[in-house]
Amino acid sequence: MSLLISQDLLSQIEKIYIHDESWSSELAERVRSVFSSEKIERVAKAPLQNVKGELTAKQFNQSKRLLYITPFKGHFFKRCPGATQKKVLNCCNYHVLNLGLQCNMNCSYCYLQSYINTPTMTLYSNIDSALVELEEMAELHSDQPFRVGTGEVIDSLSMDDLSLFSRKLIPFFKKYPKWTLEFKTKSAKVDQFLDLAHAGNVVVSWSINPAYLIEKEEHGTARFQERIEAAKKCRDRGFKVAFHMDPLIYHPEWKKNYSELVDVLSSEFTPEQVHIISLGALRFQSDQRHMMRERFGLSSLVTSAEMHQSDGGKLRYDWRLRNEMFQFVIGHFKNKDPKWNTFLCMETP
Amino acid sequence: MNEKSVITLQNCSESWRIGLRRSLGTHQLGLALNSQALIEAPFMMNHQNLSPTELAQALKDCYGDWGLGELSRLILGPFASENFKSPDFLKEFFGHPDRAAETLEKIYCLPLSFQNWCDDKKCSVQDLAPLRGLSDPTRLNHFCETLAASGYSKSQGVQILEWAIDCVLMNKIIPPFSNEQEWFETIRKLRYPETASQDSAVKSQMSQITWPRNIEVKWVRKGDRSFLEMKICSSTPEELKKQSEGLLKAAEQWHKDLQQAETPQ
Repeated sequence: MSLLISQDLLSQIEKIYIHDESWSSELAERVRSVFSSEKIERVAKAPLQNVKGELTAKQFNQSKRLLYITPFKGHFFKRCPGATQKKVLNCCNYHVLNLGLQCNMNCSYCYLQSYINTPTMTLYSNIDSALVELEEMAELHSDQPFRVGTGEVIDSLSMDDLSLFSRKLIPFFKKYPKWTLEFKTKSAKVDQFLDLAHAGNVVVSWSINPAYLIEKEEHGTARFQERIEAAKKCRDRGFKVAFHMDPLIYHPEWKKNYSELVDVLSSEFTPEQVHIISLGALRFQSDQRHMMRERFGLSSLVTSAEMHQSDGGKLRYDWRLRNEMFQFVIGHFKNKDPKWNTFLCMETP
Repeated sequence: MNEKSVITLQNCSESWRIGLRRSLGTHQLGLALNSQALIEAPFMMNHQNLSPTELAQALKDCYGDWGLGELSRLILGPFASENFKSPDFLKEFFGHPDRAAETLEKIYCLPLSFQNWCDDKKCSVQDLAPLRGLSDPTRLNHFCETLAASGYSKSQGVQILEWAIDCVLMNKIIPPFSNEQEWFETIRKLRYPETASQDSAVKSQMSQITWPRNIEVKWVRKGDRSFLEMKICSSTPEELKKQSEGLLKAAEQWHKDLQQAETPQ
């Protein structure tokens, strides 16, 4: 078992602000033990208070180099936003547990670009309060098959080598075998929890795209093969694995590249080993296009894409193209083996 | 604005200027000021006793209708001082001063005719957000001059501006102006070539199909969907029946055409 912190993360983070109330937390202690003291500042309130409202592109870029450790004061546990848009979206109806905000990776299409208005990444130091909240929910609904994901507004694992939240969550979920914990990541950071006993109810899922698209659009993430290797490690330790082929991104060689991706997944894993494969096509809030244009120019396949206003208000590919992509990928899986469990997530039917 | 009613603050005393702000506002004094007079007034260089917020308020009192072009010249022009660049100053004008500041910087680099167009059309920071994607806005100079001289409405102008910016960033060459409608369509196709070509192919396919009499068909695009829109005029039940039969035949033809198109050559 490795509790080492990746060199990338150590060098990426330029400054860490630790709130007074978090100073003695386990998380803050670990941060202080691994980062040089020059990078750390103790603060009585949220830093950079002069930065308010929507961030500029520069401020957004900078936010990925600053980390704020603070207690979270609200409700940790809430329903997935897809559940509120059931009229226009297919929804897989899961719950989210937010243990931080903002991501240290940098995908061109990331929806956080139209969501985040804080000038730092944030990790919450009071995960124990989150577990108390979960326990209260569990007492009421322990027999219901709740799915709980931690990767809504932060990657579940890309900073987990620092936070070690997984090491608290996995043992907690062991007590509630009917509940499912889902980590969702584009990193390959799994070594920090592989030694833990679990109840077979932990899904480690990867957002995955062909290697070509990872190189071009998913900056700072684990490479394709690294993600596959990490998934294999988890599978070998009895964790369920899942893949989110989301967003599918159109490009001239999309059929070839997505075929190859399906080939790799179906050669490395069996349908029984993969909990689900979810699919979604590129989509984003209309206003997000400005931030993406500023940050990635028009050489990106995402910013230069031909996107159109859709019923839910987001920009999407033409529905014929979306259908073609879904049918192609699902068809390719089913040709390999009809048992592959594929479904559409946050997508119009 | 009536030229005779325009005064500059050049010859006014400091106390008068501050009094102007504190007491009333020019309209209530029966005076009117224009933005250019304010931008060029030496008063702008001598206002250290005013905080950025007070200064912004004074300027708004004097002239309540600042456009983005005018503000860009006020804030970045030769008479500007550091006070104008303060977030507190911009906060008096904009909800998001940081984004506004960046947008104003881009506008200031563009031709005066375009700045005036932005003011005439009362463009907002959000309308002109695509400009922030240009590291060198002057690449758009010629386009902006043409846009300013055109007869586009605000929404058309803002739309074509965004397409043009995307095209420039994709190193596509903006075609010369022909007329409003044609230029708009040409630039749309330049930005959305695949959608345009698919829509045009389907339209052509539709025109090959024999449609029953008194039925108008049109292939339309609404956002991410495109579909056949139909207007049926039937005077009698018999005519409607005939039209229905004709429509079934047309649907079959459409289906065959689609199958043919999908069959590899």
